[in-house]
Amino acid sequence: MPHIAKAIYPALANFFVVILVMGTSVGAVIGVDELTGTAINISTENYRWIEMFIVVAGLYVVLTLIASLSLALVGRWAFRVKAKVF
Amino acid sequence: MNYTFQFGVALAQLPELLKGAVVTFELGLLTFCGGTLIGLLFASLKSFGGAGLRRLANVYVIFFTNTPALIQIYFLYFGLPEVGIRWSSFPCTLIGLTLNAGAYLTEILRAGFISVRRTEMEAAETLGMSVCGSRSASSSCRTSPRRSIRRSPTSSW
Repeated sequence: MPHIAKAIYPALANFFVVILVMGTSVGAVIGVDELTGTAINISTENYRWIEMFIVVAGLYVVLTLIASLSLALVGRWAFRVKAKVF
Repeated sequence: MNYTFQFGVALAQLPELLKGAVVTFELGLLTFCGGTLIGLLFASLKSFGGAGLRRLANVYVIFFTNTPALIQIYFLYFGLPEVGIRWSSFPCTLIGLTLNAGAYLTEILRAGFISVRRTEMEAAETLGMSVCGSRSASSSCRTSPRRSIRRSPTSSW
């Protein structure tokens, strides 16, 4: 079990980030009020698509960095995975 | 092309966007947890199950990894109301993404199961552990032979 955890932890953490960015934005299409959905809603009101989506891209990067940083710390603490964020 | 950027307008909506970001994070976390449970179930079926169960897990993985998540969510959101099941958008996305993520995580976890060497499993069996027990025994975490071999005595810890 510890071996397994150590072996698959990077893949799991990676996949979490994939879900976080690529997976959830799909929900915007059917009207979930997540980051992309909110951005689309606001942009249709004020027509500032470029600025809005640049800001959203920045937010996604911040979100991903927070997630990967915390996952790297958890991995280092719990499974001794030597993960680097940068 | 003369377009003047007005970031003030976009930045004024930052609280709304942050609220959206929280929902995104929530969705991602719930999807990941659900997907891990499904993945664990199907990966165990695929690794230790009989022929029928293994085929079932294979069909699940092949079906869900080879269809786009968008189509699965569309099926749940626009297809299921036709037969009388009506969910709102958040549960639909959650369930669709969970099923999709579960298929991928099945493969990831199965790779982890395979990575345990046969000799290690035999050693665990010799110590009187069952297949399930040897996989859940985490008390040997700090003293497992594989770690002590890998770590040289001169390393810092």
